Amino acid sequence: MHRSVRDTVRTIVPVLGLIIVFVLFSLTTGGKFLTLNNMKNMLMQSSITMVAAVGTTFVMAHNNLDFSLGGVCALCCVVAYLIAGTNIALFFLICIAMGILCGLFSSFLHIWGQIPAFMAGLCLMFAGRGIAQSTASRRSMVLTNAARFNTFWFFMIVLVAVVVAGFIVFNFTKIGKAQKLIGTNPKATQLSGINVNRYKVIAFAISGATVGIASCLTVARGASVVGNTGLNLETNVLLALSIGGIAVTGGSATRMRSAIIGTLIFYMLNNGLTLWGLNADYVDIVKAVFFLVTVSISIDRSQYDTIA
Amino acid sequence: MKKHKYVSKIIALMMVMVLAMFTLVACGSSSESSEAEIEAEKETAEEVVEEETEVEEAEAQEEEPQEQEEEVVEASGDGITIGMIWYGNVDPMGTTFYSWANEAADALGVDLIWQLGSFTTEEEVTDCENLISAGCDGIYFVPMAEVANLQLGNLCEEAGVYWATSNRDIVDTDIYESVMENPYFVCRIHDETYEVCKEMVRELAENGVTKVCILSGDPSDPLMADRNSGFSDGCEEYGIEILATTQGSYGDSNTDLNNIANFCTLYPDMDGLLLASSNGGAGAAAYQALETSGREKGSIKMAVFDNFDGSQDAFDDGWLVASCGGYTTECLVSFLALVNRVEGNIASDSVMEMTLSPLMISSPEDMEVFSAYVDNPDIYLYSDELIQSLVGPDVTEGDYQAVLDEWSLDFVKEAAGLD
Repeated sequence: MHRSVRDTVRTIVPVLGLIIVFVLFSLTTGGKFLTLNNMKNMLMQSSITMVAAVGTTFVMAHNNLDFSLGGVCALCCVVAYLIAGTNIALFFLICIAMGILCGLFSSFLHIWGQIPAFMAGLCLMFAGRGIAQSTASRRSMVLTNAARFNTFWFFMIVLVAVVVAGFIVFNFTKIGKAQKLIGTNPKATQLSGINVNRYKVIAFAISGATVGIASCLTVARGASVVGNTGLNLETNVLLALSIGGIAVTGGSATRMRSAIIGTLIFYMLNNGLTLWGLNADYVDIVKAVFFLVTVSISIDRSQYDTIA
Repeated sequence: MKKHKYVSKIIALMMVMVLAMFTLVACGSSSESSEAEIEAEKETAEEVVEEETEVEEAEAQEEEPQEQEEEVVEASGDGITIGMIWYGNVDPMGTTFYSWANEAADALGVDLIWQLGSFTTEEEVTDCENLISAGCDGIYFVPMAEVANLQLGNLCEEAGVYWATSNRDIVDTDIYESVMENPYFVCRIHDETYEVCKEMVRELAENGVTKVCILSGDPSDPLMADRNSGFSDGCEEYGIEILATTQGSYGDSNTDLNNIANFCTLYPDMDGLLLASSNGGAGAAAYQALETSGREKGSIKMAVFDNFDGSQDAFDDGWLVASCGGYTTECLVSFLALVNRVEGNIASDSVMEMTLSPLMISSPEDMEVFSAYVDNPDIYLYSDELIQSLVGPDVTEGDYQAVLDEWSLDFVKEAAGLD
C-alpha cells in the first residue's frame, strides 16, 4: 500500500472504530447504551485510564515506555494515606506530589543510571506493588470519605482539566514539541541545541503527575487503599493508546487524541458487551479480536520497514 | 501536505460529531425523565419494603403484601435479570458456581449476566455500573475488599437494585453499620473459617507434626486474615512451632513452588506445611515441591484450604492430611435469596446474615468423595425442585440457614446417591 494512503487509513481507523462501536451499541442495546446514566458511567470508568494515558503520551512521544503506572498508583496511595490519613485534600495533594517524585526517580534511573526506561518502570512497578501489599497487610486503609468524590462532575472536571492541559502542553508548547523531536531523532535534537535529558525528565514528571491524579480518582472510586490498588493500570493505558493508534516509536506521528479515542473505545466495548449480555466465556475473545483488528490497521509500522 | 490537512479536517469533524452525540444524549430530555423514573422506582421500592415490613409485623398477613409483591414484579419487567460479579472460572469452585448458578437460573427462569475476572473494588464498581445499565434487577458479588460492600451497595441503592454477597465477612464496624442500613441489601453469607483453620492445625498435631512453615493469605482480605489467625492461634494452642511464613502468590504457581522448595531446603526439621489457599495453582505447586524435595513420602504433612487438582494423589501419598473446601453452597444460597427478594418475596425484615461451615476432609476416602462430587461443575448436588422450593413467598431465613447447616460430606454422599 502506498505510504500516504497507509498513513491516512492508520489515522482514520481509530476514529472510525469509535464511531462504529458507538453506533453499533446504540442500535443494538434497546436504548440502554444511550441512557444518561450509562453515558455517565462510561465516562467515569474511562477517566482513570484516560488521565494516566495523557501523561504516558508524553513519555511515548520521545520513544519510551512507562510500565510503572499501576505500581506507582499503589505507592502514591499508600504514602498519601500514611501521611495524610483520612484528610482527603491533603491525601490528593500528596498523591500528585508522590506521582511527580516517582516520575523524576524513573527518569533519574533512565538518564543518569543509563537504564532503559521500560526497565526502570518495571522496577518501580514491582517496588510500588510490594510496598503497597506489605503496608496493606499490616493495616486497614479505608477512606470512606473519599467516596463522596466518586461523582460524575468531579471526575469530569478533573478529566477535562487534564486532557485540555495535556493537549495544550503537548501541541502548543516547547515541552510537547521537544518530545516529538526527541522521538524522531534524539541525536539531531541534541545537536540542534535542545537539552534532550531535560525534556525527558519533564515528560516523566508529567506522566508521574497524571498517575498521581489517576491515583486520586482510583481512591475516590475504591474508597480504600489495598495491595492491588491500581492493578492493571499500565496494561489498560498501553492497550488504550495502542487502540487509539499511537505511534509506538514516538516522534512527530504521536497524537494526544490516541489517548482519548483509545480509552473511549476500550470502555465502550466493555460496557456494550455487558449490555448485550454476551456469554461471559466469549467477552474476552471478542475484545481480543476487536483490539487486534484495530491495532493491526492503525499501528505505525514504520519501524518494521526494514524487516524482510 | 494538502492531503494531510484534509484528513485532519475529516478527523476533527468526526470527533465533533461523536462529542456532539455524547452531549446530546447526556443532556437530552429523555435522560431527565429516566433519572426521575429511577428516583420514582427507588421511592416505590423503599415504600414497598417499609410497608411490607409493617404489614408483617401487624399480622395483616395475606392480602396487602401480595398486592405489593405484584407491584415489584411488574416494575422489574417480564423476566428477572441478575448481574453476577464473579472472580472467574479459574479453579474448581469458580467453575462449579458458574455452572450451578446457570443451572439454578434455568430452573427458576431467571436471566443471568456474568462479569468475570474482577479482583479489585474499582473493577467491581465498574462491573456493577455496567450491570445496572444493562437493566439487572439484582446484583450478586463476592466483595474483593470490605469497602466494596459500601461502594457497590451505594450504587445499588441509588439505582433501586437489590444486592447480596457471599464468602466474605465484614469486620470494619463503620462499614458494617452503614451497609446494614441499606434497604436493598438482601443477604450476606460467610464461612466460619477461623475455627476450621484451628481444626486443621489440630489434625496436623494429631499426626505428630511439631514444626510448620506457612504459606499465608493476603492479610488485607478479611477472609484470609481469618485463616492466618486461625493457623497461628491453632499452632499456639496445639504446641506447634512456626518456622517461617511467606505470603502466597495467588495465581503465580511458580512463585509458590519456589517458596515451598525454599522451605524444604532452609528448614530440614520442618515436618508440616499450612496453606491458606491452594487456589490459583498453589496446592498443585506445593504437592510438586514436596514430591521433588528429596524427602521421604509423607515425611512432611500438609493441611490446605481449598481443593486442588492432585489432592487425591497427595492424600494417597501421605503428603496431605487435612483439606478444607466446599463453599459453593453459600454462593448458591445467597444467589437464591437475592432472586427471592427480587421476585418480591420477603424472607426476613432485615438483612439476612448467615454462616456456612466448610467441609473438612481428613482421609483419602473422604477426599475421593470430595474430589468426585464437590466443586465439580458437572455434578449438581441440589435438585431443581429444591432450588425452586427456596424461592417463594413462604420461604424464610431459617430455610436458607437450614440448607447451609445441612452441608456436610454425609449430605454430599446422599445427594450423590452413594449411601
